[in-house]
Amino acid sequence: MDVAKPGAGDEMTEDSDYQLIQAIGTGNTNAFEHLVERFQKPVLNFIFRYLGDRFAAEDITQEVFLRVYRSAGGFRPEGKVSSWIFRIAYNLSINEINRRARLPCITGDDELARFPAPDATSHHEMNQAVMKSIGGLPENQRAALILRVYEGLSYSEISKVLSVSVPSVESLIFRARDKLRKLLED
Amino acid sequence: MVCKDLRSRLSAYLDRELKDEDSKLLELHLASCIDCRKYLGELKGVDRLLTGLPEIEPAPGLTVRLISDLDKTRTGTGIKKAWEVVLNWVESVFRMYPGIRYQRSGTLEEFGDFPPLSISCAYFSLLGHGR
Repeated sequence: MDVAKPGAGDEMTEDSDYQLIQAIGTGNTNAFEHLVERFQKPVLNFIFRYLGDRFAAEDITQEVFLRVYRSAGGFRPEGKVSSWIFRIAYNLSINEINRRARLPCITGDDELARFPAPDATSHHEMNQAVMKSIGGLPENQRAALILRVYEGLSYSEISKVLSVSVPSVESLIFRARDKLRKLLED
Repeated sequence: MVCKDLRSRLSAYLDRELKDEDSKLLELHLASCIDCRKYLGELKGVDRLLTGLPEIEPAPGLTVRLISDLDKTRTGTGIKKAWEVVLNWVESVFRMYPGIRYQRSGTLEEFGDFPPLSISCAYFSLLGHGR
């Protein structure tokens, strides 16, 4: 089975996503493996960019797929499978942020300061600055921007992931870009 | 169209999320407004920086670990699964009727300052009788 990047709006991919979910609902682990192969990288990167912590991102990614497996039987095809999976990832990330808020000693800026950037060489400092700027955005703006820029979700799909209206998504993404523009200017 | 109103829509324009007529209006304005063109260029610059960030690769073996976790879940006893079904049902009932709340008896809270005052009083009164 082909492994395609989600969020590209490809109908064939979306059809096969539904088929995978249906098969997973009947306990088919091969289908589950295919789904994990297809979505693990975008989900991991979404959570990583949202939280700024690779280790937490890996743990939460694992939990996302366990939840997908458990809930696949009850999945209703009201939206795209990718939107549903990102919604689970978003909700679990929010839970993690709330958990960290109750433990003030392990929050925020310290995590951003030790972002691993394994592939970066000459652009390392710029990448650090960009990552820190993303981390400085309000949570909902950050999520909307990451889903748009990195995962290529449409505003309609993002509205389903974040449970907000499409005009709100437009506003969130605009404010995020505008804030980054000012931050990166400095 | 005022520049300030227009700029708030330039982000959606970049994402090709505007209706055709809105895009055309914006393009008309952009053709005659150097400041808005500069602003659009800055937004594009932000996107270029964002997309320049490296992606991280999933740690090898994620799929294997997941399947292993699923196996553990599946080999759990039937009682555990039945209990999960009951808990899910109770949760769904509470979601359907948000008015339902747990009643607090307060019984446990009385023991928050152990030993309870009533027992302490009885103890000291017994001590008093003993003398």
